[in-house]
Amino acid sequence: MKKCKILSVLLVLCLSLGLIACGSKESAGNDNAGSTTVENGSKDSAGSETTASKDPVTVKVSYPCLVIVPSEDAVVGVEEVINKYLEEKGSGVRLDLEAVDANNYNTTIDMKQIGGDQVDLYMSLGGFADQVNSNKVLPITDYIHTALQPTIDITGEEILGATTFNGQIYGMPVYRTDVCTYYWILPTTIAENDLGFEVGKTVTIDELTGYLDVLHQKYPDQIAMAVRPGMNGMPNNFCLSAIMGGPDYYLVTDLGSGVGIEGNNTTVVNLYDTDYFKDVCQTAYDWNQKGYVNKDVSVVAEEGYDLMKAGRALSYIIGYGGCNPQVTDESDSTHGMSVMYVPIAPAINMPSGLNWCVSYGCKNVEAACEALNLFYTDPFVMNSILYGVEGRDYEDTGLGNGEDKIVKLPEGKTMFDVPYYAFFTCGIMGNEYIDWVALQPDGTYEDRREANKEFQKNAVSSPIYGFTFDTANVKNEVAGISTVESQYLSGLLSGELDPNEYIPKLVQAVKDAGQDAVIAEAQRQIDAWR
Amino acid sequence: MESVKRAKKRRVNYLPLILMMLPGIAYMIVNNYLPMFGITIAFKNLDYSKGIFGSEWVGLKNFEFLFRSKDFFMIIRNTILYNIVFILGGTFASLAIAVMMTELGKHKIAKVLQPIICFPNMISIVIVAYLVYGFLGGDGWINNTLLKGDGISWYSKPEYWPFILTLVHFWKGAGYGSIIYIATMSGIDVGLYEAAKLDGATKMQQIRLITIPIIRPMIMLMLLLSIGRIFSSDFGLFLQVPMDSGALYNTTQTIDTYVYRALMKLNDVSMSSAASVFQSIMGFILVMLSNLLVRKVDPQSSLF
Amino acid sequence: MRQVNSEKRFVNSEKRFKAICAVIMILFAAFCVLPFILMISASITEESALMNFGYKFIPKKLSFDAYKYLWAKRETIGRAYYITIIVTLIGTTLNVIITSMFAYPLSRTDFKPRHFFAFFIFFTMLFNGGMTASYIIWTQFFHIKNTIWALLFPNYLMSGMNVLLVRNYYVGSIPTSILEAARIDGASEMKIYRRVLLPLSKPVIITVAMFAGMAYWNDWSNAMYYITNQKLYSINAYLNNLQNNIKLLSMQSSMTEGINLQGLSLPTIGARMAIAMIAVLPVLVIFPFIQAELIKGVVIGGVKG
Repeated sequence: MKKCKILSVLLVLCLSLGLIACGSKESAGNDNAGSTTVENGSKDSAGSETTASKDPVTVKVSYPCLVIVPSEDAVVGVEEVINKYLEEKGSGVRLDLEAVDANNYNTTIDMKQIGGDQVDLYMSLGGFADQVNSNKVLPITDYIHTALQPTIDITGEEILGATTFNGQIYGMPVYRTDVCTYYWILPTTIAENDLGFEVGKTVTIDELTGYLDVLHQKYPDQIAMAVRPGMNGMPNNFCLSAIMGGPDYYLVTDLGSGVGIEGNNTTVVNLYDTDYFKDVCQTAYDWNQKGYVNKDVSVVAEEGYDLMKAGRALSYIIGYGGCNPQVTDESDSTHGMSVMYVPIAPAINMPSGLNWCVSYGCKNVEAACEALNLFYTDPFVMNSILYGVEGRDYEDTGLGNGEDKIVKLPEGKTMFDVPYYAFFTCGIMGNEYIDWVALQPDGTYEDRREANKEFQKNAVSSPIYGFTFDTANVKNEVAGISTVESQYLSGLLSGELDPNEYIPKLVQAVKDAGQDAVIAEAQRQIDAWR
Repeated sequence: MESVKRAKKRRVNYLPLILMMLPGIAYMIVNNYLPMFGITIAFKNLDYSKGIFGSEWVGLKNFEFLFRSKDFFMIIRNTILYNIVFILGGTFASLAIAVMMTELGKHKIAKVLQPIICFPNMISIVIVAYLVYGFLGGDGWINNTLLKGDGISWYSKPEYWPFILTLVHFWKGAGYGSIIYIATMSGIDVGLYEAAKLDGATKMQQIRLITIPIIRPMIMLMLLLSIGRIFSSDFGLFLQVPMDSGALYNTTQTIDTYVYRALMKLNDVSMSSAASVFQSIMGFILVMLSNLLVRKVDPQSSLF
Repeated sequence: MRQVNSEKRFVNSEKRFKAICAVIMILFAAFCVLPFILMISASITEESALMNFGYKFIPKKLSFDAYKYLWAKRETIGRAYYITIIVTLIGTTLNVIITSMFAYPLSRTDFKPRHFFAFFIFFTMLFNGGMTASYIIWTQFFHIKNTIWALLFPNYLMSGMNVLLVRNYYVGSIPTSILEAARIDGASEMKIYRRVLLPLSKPVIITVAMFAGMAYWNDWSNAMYYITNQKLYSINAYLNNLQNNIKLLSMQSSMTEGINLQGLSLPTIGARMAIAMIAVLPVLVIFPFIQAELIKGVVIGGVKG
């Protein structure tokens, strides 16, 4: 096993990581009735009120909601509050809110667009390049320096690199802490007693192997580390692998289909043919052979934290997106015990791939951009979408700082009781840093926003940070590679397959599927992008 | 004169028949024929701003990922072989069950057995996948309770899976599939059996000479319909029951799972539509040929 | 003497045959029901026991947490049941009527266009325009979005297979002599259909009703595409959603550490099985009754010559 430390960085459009809500704790309480109470919103939307001089334009906003999708009545109530505010402010736009279930968000929006329903502003949750190519979105280049200028002042112009194609800008990325870190999670007792860890300890993958051995010897009946397919410690898939270390490490940028960049350069290569990949698979294989991980690793269905809670496994590795969690967690219902988070990698800057876009069917792009601007600059609008109507859905604790409030659920209510609750949408809505902080059930609150910003500053970036690979010209090759990957990748990354035998097979198979063409295409695009 | 009158009379009689068919015709047009324009998506490069009708034609380009694939023959082979086994074996099993259930007829036990054999069909295939995993998994029942010791790593040995999948398929479908045969058998005149018994026919002879010939058209119908779907497969059975394991590729990959895995990253409606059109056309050709054959041999049993 | 002996032998061999059938069917039924028991057992097993010991026929440790979690949602589940039951009943009835009416002319040998219509129906079984095209037709022209019609009309109101099944049954199992007799008596086509045909085709009607009913009950895609009002979700659509949400919620709490779900126990594996249980429970209960009707069968007698 090579001595050199490994670190990798990735451009991944990963939906699950992208949907991470922002890092503040939210109270939930007990799940009682579960049904929504009667809401008192009227049926009329305030969309067509005329102001003194100019008729305001109504912009339809279709946003995803996780877990809880508010009913239409409840949403209407929120609309009224927002539109009244906008009228008082003299704004030229009104909002028509549409809460869409995040589970089917892409399909639903797709259907609406092709079926002729009105879609103005919506989010692209992955696959941004395809959306541009099939003409689902309209360019907003003209309005960047007009309606969206206040937003750009806050976010800076660089983030637009992710949504620029052929000189036109097609979307506005969400402004949040797009950082990914990987942690080895294990019970505090074991960490302190058996391994002698202290809070703040970090490990490298080499060291990890040693620690796993200790655990395996000491607790032979339990799984030393529970892994998910491909999550042998190189979390999610090898592309997100980040193994902490000293000055020399692998810096890997994955563009999908096994194509990417190794190191701090811009030369595109076959990632499956690199030393990096060999190292990763070999480590995984060793762990599997030595019995540190669960059997049937490549098909296992249970989550690491569930296995840990049941006492079946001793630890697992997981990636955190968006924020820097506490290093130990005392009151943890997920694990049922106190756990320690041991970073195994430095933070990596990872664009979320979540972009706000203007749908091709929008009649007034300027108004849409004005509405979009509100999500990044106006705390009241943003947070009303997240929290609902004051008094009905949330209350101001008064602990905040003027516009920047700290809110909580009304007395005695849980998130399932109030008519409108879209807190889970925070972090993908617009500007994460103007979100209000939510009060925890124990009366405390955490404002991690500044800390997150700092955290992001220190994270490592890929040499082509912001670049999005457009696979339109190599679709067939991507499809072929995809099937090859589904055959070998899971087994290799889980350590079930012997890398010496199977990596050559994988490399040959992706070559046969036409990966060289993909590499050439990616190189071409990157050279043009710079 | 007489013949013209008779002809007129018969043609007038069509009216009530057509009227009876009207709701069905209307529904089929709205639900099935009007949306057929969607098939063109397979041959177009879908441009949302132009809509389905305005998008440009690209011929067979969307089919390339399927035809050019190295695995093309493998997935076709898998799909068709499994289907042949399923169709033949499944028909035999369902018939056998139907015969036995009819035999047990009005006995109390039949009332209990009949719903039970249909239960497996009601469980969603995802749950079935978990249950199979409960049996075959690393810590599953077979490895733990039956085999003790190291056990077999089922999910990485492709050679077992044709049997496993066939077993699961029969478990799920044989009982449910027997219902239509039971229904048809229950319509057979009991008097025929009585007469046969008097002539000294054994049970097997009765089945062979009375039951089967009478329900033959129904069997042929089911066979022909299955042939039409011979290029398709039960997606849940082939993707989820093997827990999406790459190692089992060679024996569990069918056209449907291939398309799914290929297009996972691409999200391309045109390409998946192309695959489905391919399956439909192939199935259609086969059915038309089979139907012609059947029509020559046994006209009553043909589809049309 | 010999007659009696051979009769006895005959009766014995019949009894033997019946016994063999019974044994085989009981074994098969046991084979069918076993995984079911596993499922029920898993749904009432405590989560950590499931993790540690896997699925067992007898729960290692009893826990009704999964069902408690679902019980808390009983209002929404109840409403989903209600919607699904109504949709299934109405849909199945309409399906049976339309299908059997359509199949009757197809079965008449003197109806010249019957081959054309049979092909007309059959073609739809193989070729379909896809979800997108259907969506456009149903929402743009018929505006059924977010109405109960969206659960009834698309896809399941009539199926080619059912029509052909009924047609074949009519052709094979209804003696033309009876129909002729009715016609000679001057009955109109509708009358023949209602008074003569339907009663005689009970087995196939019940079969088609079962197929159609199961299709409606199990459907979740209509709700997913056409319904956004959660009050109109069918039971399977709702449960699918719930399943995804459980997955997401538990992912959330570990990946963000942001959502503190104190007090909200989320059994994952057990919940999966419990959810599957309540999805099929009503069907399991109703099925035996419908099937009993099927077995009763039809005895055709009294037709001379």
